[in-house]
Order: sequence, then structure tokens, then C-alpha cells
Amino acid sequence: MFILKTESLTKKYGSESQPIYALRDLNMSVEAGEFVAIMGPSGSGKSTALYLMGGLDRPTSGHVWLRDKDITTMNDDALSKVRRESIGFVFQFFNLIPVLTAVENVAMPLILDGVPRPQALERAEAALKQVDLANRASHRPSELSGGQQQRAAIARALAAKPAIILADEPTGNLDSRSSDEVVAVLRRTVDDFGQTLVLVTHDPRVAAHADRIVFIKDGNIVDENRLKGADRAEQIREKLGRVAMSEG
Amino acid sequence: MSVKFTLLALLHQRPMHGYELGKQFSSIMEADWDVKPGQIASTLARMKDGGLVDYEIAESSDAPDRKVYSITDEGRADLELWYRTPEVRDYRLSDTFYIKLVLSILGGPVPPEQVLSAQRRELYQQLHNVTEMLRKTDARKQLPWVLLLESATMHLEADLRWIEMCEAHLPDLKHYTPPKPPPRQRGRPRRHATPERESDGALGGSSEA
Ligand SMILES: Nc1ncnc2c1ncn2[C@@H]1O[C@H](COP(=O)(O)OP(=O)(O)O)[C@@H](O)[C@H]1O
Ligand SMILES: [Mg+2]
Repeated sequence: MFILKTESLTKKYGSESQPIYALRDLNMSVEAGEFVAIMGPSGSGKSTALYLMGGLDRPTSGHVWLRDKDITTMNDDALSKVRRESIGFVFQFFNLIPVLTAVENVAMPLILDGVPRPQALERAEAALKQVDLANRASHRPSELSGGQQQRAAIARALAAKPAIILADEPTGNLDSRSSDEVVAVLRRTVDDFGQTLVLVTHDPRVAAHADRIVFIKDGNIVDENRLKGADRAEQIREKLGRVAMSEG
Repeated sequence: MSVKFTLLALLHQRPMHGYELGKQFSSIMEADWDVKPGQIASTLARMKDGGLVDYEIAESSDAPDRKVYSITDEGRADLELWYRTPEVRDYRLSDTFYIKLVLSILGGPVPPEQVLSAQRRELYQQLHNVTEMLRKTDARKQLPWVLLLESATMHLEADLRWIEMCEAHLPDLKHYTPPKPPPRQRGRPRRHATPERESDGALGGSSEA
């Protein structure tokens, strides 16, 4: 059973006379408890796909199904409710509020959503535990390493118990050690908590942790893979090279 | 971009006449780096005066006589020094887009979100152009050109990443107020307690009283 499905998802930029398709008839579906990585060259439409899946942006045409609901036909209020309740976002830049502690940062969206402060903080602490950051709960972002800040941002996304987490280059701003730390945490939320996760990355070492990799180019899927074996990162690197050079 | 050193490098291979130099020049530089024949001739003349190149007149029965240029020892030394001197990249600490963004944050007719978005569109357009050029290039035959295009891609990606970073920081940036300039000192100039700091005024920029 899918959690999220796109149907001929299309996003057009530019003028009528010179349209640029950021996404063209994208059809993909994500199963419950699945970890899908999206890869592709710069400008191929990865972020656009993720934003549309998360209702952060509206498609030019096509649909996004979140379980049995088509989020593309919802009005702004309904969409924003779905976003808050069912979708967790993680970005390349952590977007933590500098003056708040880690646990306050994680609790913030819940409090804004009307959860009483004590419960919100309790759930925030549980989420921090999930990302191995319980012992840093009262630190401010500036007192955390890059990897720890990103884990706090992941905890913030997890706290609302979303149906799906959408992560756009979550390790894009991290060194390779912090990056390993972050992917390990993400992988564990899938394995131990059944979290569904879609992650955009151009790092083969990160994508190697996914259950399935979708390669996109010029706004459409050009390849799809479940890779096995210890040399997955190498296989992915090779595939990426072939995708980039292929005719559009 | 140095016409002078390109010519010296070509002449280092073998002596050539002006027309040949012009042809070699444009075949190496696939990018549309415009050099006019006049520019090559005037550079050669200047280098001859400076003793970096010399020429012999090649007489020909069926064509006008031509000057065949060759590199001198002095020219060779100059060329070698050029190769060994690293190129310094401009880190764009006075980026014009950045100035535009900061000014838009201070308030104005166009909000910073739209300033960022217009810039992003332009960067994507350029990225598309470079990607298209890359796709049309045969890496086996034109590797140097491919590497140059890859460099352009990487810089554009970095610029796009930076735009994303600015966007992520916009909420914080909006609370930014530029520091007030220190009050102007009147009368007798202040004595600096630490005179050695005076020398780094070029970077600090705030040492003027
Ligand atoms: N704000 C924008 N304005 C204009 N075009 C855009 C904008 N954002 C994205 N695009 C277009 O959509 C394409 C895909 O962008 P994006 O999804 O950000 O790519 P990726 O995340 O794979 O690097 C870009 O190549 C560009 O043509
Ligand atoms: Mg992107």
C-alpha cells in the first residue's frame, strides 16, 4: 500500500513561448516504511519533485496522493493542515532558531499547532532520543556540531509523527563524518520506527543506504534501482555518470 | 586572460608566423574568447620591443614575405615564471548581487524573496545552457573543454546552494540592522594604544577616526 503517489506530476516555469519543465509527467509511488532516494544532475527537478510531494508548491498539472487524499486539489487551509500533521521536512540548511534550545526548537511546531507546552516538550524529548540527541536537549544550535544540528532538525520533523519525511540534500552542508551520522539516524527511523522517507541527495554514499533509488533527469525518471552488495556506492556513482551523459 | 602568454606558449612549441598563431590561438580556446588579428599583431610587436620574441623574414616567391616569430631566452624565462605563479581568484567579497540582496532587506519596492528568486532563475538558465553544451560535447575528443564546462557547472551549483542558504536565513536577516558608524572624533587625533593594529586597516576598514 502506498503512502504517497504522484500522477503525471508536472511543473512548468518560464513564459508561454519559452517554457521550462522542471518536472514532466512524473509518476512515482512510495510504500509505507520505505526509504527512497532521489538522485540526478543539478537542475533535474529533484527539489521541485519533493516540494510538490510535500505541498510546499503547487504543480502546473498532475496529482499528489497522500494515502487516499489528493493534496493538489485542496485549498490552502486544508493543505497547510496536512503539511503540519502528515509531512515532515528536512532541508540542507537546518533552519533552527538560534535563541531556542534544541528541545524548544523541536517542540516549537507542536506548540504553534496548539499542543500544550508540557506535552509538546515531552514529545520533543522523545524525538531527540530517537536521533540520539537526548543529552543535548538544552543546548542552543550554536553549541551543536553541524551533524547534531541536522539531527535536531530531523527530530523536529519526527515530533509531529508525520506519515512521511521529505529530506532535500540533508547532508549537503555536512562533512562526511557528520553526513554518516545523519544517514545512520535516518536509516534507523525507518528500520526501528517504520518511518517512510524520501530523500534527495547527490552523494552516492548517502543514497547507498536507501531501499530504492530513483534517478531523474530533465524532470522525469530515467532509471530505478534496488541495489544490493557492498559496492553499492560505486554502482550508484557509475549509474549517475551514465544518467548525466545520456540523451535527454 | 593573457594574449601575451598564450602567444609565448605557442611559440615555445615552434616558430610560427602571425597568421598561424591566430589559427592555433582560436583552435585551443574553444570558448568564445574573442581575439582580433590586430590584437595578436600589436602584442607581438610589443613583445619584440621587450625582447621576448624575435622574428626572421621568410621570403617566398609566390606569397608576400612573412615574419616568422620565435621565442627568446628572455621570453622563455617570462613564460616559465607565469606558469609557476598561481592564479588568484577573486572571492567576490564585493558581489553585486549580494549588495542588491542586503539593500532589499533594508526595505524597498521589491522584497528579498523576489530578489533571490530572480537570481535563482538566472542561475538555472545558465546551468541549463552549460548542461546543454556539456551534453553536446564529446568527452573523448574535447576533454579540456569538458573540464572547463564542469568548472562552470560547479560554480553555478555553489551559487545556487548559496541562494538556498540566504533563503534559509531570510527570517534572521530581516532582523538585521547594520551597525551604527562610530561617532566621528573631533579635534585632536586619537592615539592608538596598539600601534601595530594600524597596519591592518586595509581589511578592517573601521580604523579611520
Ligand atoms: N525559482 C525558479 N525559477 C525558475 N526556474 C526554476 C526555479 N526553480 C526551479 N526551476 C527550474 O526547475 C528545474 C529543476 O530545479 P530543481 O528542482 O531545483 O533541481 P534540482 O533540485 O534537481 O537541482 C531547474 O533546472 C530550473 O529550470
Ligand atoms: Mg535541489
